Amino acid sequence: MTLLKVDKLSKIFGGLTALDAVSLSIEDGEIHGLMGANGAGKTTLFSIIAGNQRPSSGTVHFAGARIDRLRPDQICRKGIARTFQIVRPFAGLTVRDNVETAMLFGQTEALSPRERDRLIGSILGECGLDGLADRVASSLTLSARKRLEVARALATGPRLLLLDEVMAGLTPTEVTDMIAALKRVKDNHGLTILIIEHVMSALNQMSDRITVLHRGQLIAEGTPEDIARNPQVAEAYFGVDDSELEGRP
Amino acid sequence: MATDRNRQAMRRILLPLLLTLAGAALLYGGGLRAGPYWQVVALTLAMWIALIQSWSIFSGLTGYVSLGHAVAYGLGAYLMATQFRDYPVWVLIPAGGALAGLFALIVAIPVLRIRGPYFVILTFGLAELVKFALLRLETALGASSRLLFGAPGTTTLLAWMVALAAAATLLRHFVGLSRFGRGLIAIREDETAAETLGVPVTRFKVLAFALSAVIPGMVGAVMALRSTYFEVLQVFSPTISFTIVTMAIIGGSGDARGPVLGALFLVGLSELLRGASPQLYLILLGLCLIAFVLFAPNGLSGLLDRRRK
Ligand SMILES: Nc1ncnc2c1ncn2[C@@H]1O[C@H](COP(=O)(O)OP(=O)(O)OP(=O)(O)O)[C@@H](O)[C@H]1O
Ligand SMILES: [Mg+2]
Repeated sequence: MTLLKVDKLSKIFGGLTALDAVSLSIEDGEIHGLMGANGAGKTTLFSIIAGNQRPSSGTVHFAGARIDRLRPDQICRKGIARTFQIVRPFAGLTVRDNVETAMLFGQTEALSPRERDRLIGSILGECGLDGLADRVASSLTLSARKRLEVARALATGPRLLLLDEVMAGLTPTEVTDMIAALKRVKDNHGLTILIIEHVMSALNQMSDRITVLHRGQLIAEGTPEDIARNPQVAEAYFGVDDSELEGRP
Repeated sequence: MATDRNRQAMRRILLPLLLTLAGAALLYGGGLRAGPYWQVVALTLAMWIALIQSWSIFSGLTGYVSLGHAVAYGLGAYLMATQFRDYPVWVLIPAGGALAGLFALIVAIPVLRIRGPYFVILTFGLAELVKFALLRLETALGASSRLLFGAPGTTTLLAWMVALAAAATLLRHFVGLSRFGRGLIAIREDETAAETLGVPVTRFKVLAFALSAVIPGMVGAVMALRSTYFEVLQVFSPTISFTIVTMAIIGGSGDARGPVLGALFLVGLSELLRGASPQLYLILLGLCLIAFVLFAPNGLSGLLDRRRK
């Protein structure tokens, strides 16, 4: 079953086309990787799916219903949660209060205080934040802040989780831990995940399928093996094509 | 676990309730016994507490600083001044609150689209606009000032004002603990993150803004009775808005203690110095403000917390 369907989505900032008629389907239960060089439009795609930005044209459907006209809080309550590439913790609140706020507003049915406590405990455990519950978010390391982004997103009770470079800036051991944690989280919560990552090995290890964006356009889609063998992808990442060389002095 | 929760309920619900009631009893009872001069001081103190607590429901929780709360106060006073002859006081005081709340609700919808420092300037500009528009209206009506004959005495007004201060204090405290308040705090911390995590930010901001205007409207209505004299420039004065913010900075607006401390501090300072030397009072006020902004951004209530830790 298709959980998320993005259809001919475009976003234009002034003269810059950040997304150019991108179409994409995410199947229920998969981990779908999203890659592309800096400025490819990955974060913009997330912002539109989550309702933080309006598309210039095109549509987004989630679980059969159109969502591209909804507000972010409505989309959240429909079951989509995103993390921010540049983390946005509630800096003055404790880790627990950060997570509890997400739980109070993202969840569609109200939980009793006892259920909340239990769920917060288990989410903090899953994200490796057990010992940090009473720490003020502004005092956390980058790695812990990234994990807080994930914990808060999880606390809203999503079906689809959008992860924007949650491994960027982490050490190799932290990356390994994060991959393991994400796989656990996916199984425990029955999630579908769309994940942006520059760390290609991490994407290959996790993803069922990968989509590649380049300058706002979708240039490839397939299994990690397909993507690794795709010449266009190699060119977009490592090569420079002729048309671009011609334009230079 | 169970005792933990009981202790928390005690600390968050019962204790603030008892403290507020005790404070109100002290202020009213003390005022009654101490004679006319202290009654006026108690009335002034209660007035500022009611105003700052209300302001803090919106500005303390969301972080959007409003410089327009004099309008709520002024509308309540205006309603009282114009309708005093025709309606009983106990109708006009709540009606003043309703009028202020309704006006804030209507204004909030366009105003709260603005984020950041422009919001502050906009609230100030709007307050001035309302002031001068009403001034025009009053001049056209040939009523540049209005007198209220037969207003209730100071002890009655003190009772009203202390009740409003207590109500505002409890409202601020319990809104802060509620799901609504948690949403407002999330807006203060990071509005984009808040809305992405499910907080209906626009609705919450508008509601908080309207709610924070209700008690100031009632305060204005009571103060019109107190001065028995209404003049637009005096009642819609930006000084009221500025004083609220000053006291909130000094006391701290992170919880319901801050406004009480801020009002006590400034009313106390003013009682000590204003008679002797108004300039010294203003100089000290300025110095205090600078010192708090620089060294104790969470105000007196923040200092209390720091000491405990
Ligand atoms: N709000 C905005 N206003 C104007 N231009 C924007 C805005 N947001 C993004 N852009 C531009 O759109 C393009 C796509 O940006 P986006 O952040 O989506 O890229 P990305 O693939 O996430 O890149 P990165 O890997 O660096 O995070 C970039 O050229 C960026 O400068
Ligand atoms: Mg990005």
